[in-house]
Amino acid sequence: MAETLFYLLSIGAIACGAGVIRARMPLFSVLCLLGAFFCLSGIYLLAGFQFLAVTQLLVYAGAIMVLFLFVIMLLNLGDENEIARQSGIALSGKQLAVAGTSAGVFALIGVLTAGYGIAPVETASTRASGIDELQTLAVELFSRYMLPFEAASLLLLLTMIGVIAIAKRQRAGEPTHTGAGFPWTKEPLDEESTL
Amino acid sequence: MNAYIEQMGLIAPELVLTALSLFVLTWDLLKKGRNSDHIGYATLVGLAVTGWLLLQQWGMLGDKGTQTAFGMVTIDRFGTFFKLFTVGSMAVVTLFVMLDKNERKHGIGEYYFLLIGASIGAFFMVSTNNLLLLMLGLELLSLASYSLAGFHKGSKRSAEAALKYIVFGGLSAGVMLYGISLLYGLTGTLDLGLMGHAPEGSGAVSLATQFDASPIPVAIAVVLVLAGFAYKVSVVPFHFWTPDVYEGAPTPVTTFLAVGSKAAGFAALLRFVGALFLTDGVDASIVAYGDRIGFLLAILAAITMTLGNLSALRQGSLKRMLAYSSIAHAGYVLMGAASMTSEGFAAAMFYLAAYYCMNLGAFGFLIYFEGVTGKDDIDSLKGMGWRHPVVAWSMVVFLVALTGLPPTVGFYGKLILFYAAIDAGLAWLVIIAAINSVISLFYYFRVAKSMFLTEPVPQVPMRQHGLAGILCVLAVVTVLAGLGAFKDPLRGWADEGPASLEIYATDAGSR
Amino acid sequence: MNVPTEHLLALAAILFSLGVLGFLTRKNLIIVLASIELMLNAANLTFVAGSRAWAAEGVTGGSPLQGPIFSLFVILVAAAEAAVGLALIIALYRLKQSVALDSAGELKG
Repeated sequence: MAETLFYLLSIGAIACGAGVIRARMPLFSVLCLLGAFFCLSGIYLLAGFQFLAVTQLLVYAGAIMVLFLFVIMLLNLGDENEIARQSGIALSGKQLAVAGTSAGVFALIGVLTAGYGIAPVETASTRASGIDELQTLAVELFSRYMLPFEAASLLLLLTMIGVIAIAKRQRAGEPTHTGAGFPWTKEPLDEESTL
Repeated sequence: MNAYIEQMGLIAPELVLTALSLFVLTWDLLKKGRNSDHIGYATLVGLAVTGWLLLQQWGMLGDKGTQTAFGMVTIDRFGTFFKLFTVGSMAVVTLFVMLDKNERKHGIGEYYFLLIGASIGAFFMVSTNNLLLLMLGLELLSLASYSLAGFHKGSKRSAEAALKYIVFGGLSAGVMLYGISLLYGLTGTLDLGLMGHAPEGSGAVSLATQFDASPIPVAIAVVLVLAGFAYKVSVVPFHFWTPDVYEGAPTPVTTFLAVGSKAAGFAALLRFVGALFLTDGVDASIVAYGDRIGFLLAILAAITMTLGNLSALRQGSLKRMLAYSSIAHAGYVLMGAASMTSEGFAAAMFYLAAYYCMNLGAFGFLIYFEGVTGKDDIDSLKGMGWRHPVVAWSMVVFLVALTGLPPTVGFYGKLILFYAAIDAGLAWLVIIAAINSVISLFYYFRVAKSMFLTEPVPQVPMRQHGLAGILCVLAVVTVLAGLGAFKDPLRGWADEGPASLEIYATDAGSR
Repeated sequence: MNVPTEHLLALAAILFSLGVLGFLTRKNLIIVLASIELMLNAANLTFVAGSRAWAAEGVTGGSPLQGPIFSLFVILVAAAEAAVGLALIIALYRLKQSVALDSAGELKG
């Protein structure tokens, strides 16, 4: 039963993943990504990682997805507004990239499934080792992993400030930085006047 | 409890920086963004305290040897060297921000906060054996860099540069994390020390054991992680973001990316490679594989320096030229890593210290020059030599050092890099590097020629004495360090680092 | 769930490759960011597979716990990167009314 569910979810995740990169509209792409997150969350649950599954749903599906959808709606980025990206790697053609990566995919899968050096799992009971329990996880997180935990809080603060610094509107009276020339070359620099 | 406080003492520099970042943020809020120069001064004071603590730590490490805090921060001279490097470059970058005429003077408290955040990330990155903390430090540094690159709102160049940076940065983060996850699956640990050499009962399997059983997954995992570091230090083929980001970002940020961020990337790279392949107790099979990784790095180094130098030849913009020049210099430093010996690592560290002086100087000149003319193309340099002689002559010193000519520290740095590479049997690489130095002479000389040998164009004379002073000091240091290096005190200083790299293998098994 | 570790790893490898493929072939910035999220999820799945395998080996001493904990931090990093990336998209859109990186030719490749 659980095995069947796993393979169904796997197929779902792969289908959604393909949808992410094939969708014509960004909105569909993001919705496919949401589907992939749901499937993966189910797999984590089956593998016995309840907390991870819940976090996956809460943070990814709940927060990150809303952010994506919000930006798409806010900027009204539909199909007609295909956002171009200048790829620094001079890809000579899409076909080349597709062929190369597909070859890479098959090589990677073959190699990993054939030679990954972990003993095969007969009846993996994560429950027995207690790694699914929230309590174990919490104790570990606040003892051995306390420093990374604190570093993560700093990371979130920094992200918040960075995002505000980038995305907030300029206040009236602040000089703008135009790419073409520097603002003060047009008028003599007067530090007081800009205050 | 006492043990706890003792460990807090070990990470005191990080704590001071964190406190400083929060202080800067709060103070900026309280001042409602008026005149940010005070925040700059506060940052300098905080950095001075951090630097002093690090120097104390350097002395303490000489007595006690390598220490571990919280099971994952490794305090050794290798890490402290790079922390001092980060603090040093941060201090100069802060001065640049304060003196840059192209920068707003108020409402930029976040600027300082993000810069300090980036250096905290660099601190964690250079001083840990744990891949989790390494990843968090790297992301702290990266996220701060993305925001800083896009800091000039209203500038399309800045916004596009930042977007390009984060798109490719996200790719490299994904690739590196996938590599780390494979390494974890293979060894059952996130500790680099245990991956290199796993004692009985540690619950982990060393990478060497896994390499004997299934070499290809190990190879894939290691190469994927290395790709993440290669992006950070902009080594070919992960360099393509560098020119655009360096050109589009605010110039002080570019300086930090080219000096501080790059050094932190190299520190992580050296530690990763050193812990997996060079420490005592690793098996012969993995050492042989390490040599192959070294050969791969050597090829990448050769391509990187050649491509960087050839592209720099045809740049009209000084900022873009310096970006390509920094790619080329990443190639030189990589020579040291490729030699896979502790002498090579020491040479790479010494070269980074030399690079600190000369590249900070060159970018400082760029800020001065942008402040005077408002342009950054080399043709506009005409007459700089006669109108601003002090700055121009400092720049000549930096150019000589970047080319690698005596009597500057750049020459000595290249010399010991070449020695280390020859010792490791990479004579072909040294020949390529020597040819590259000759190529680089052309474009560095073009700058000097433009400054001195052409008729000055009429322009408004504008002087910045503070910036000129910093450049002067850096130039003097570049020459004096070059002369002093022959008497060997500096070299001994850089040599200490890798020696401690070898020590940490023994006490990494504390878990 | 009685599934061999290899199958989990294969699923992760496929998702990772799909992410790389999307990154290389698509030009839409939103889809590029979505592809990166896919790659990060592949890393998470590999961590889970590794942790499960080490638990099955009967290893003690915290080894199996490191995987899910790392995964939590990966989710955090993914959220932070998405936030900064989307903020930059908004900032650029405000300047140009489009998010085309190459249309204005501000930066020459």
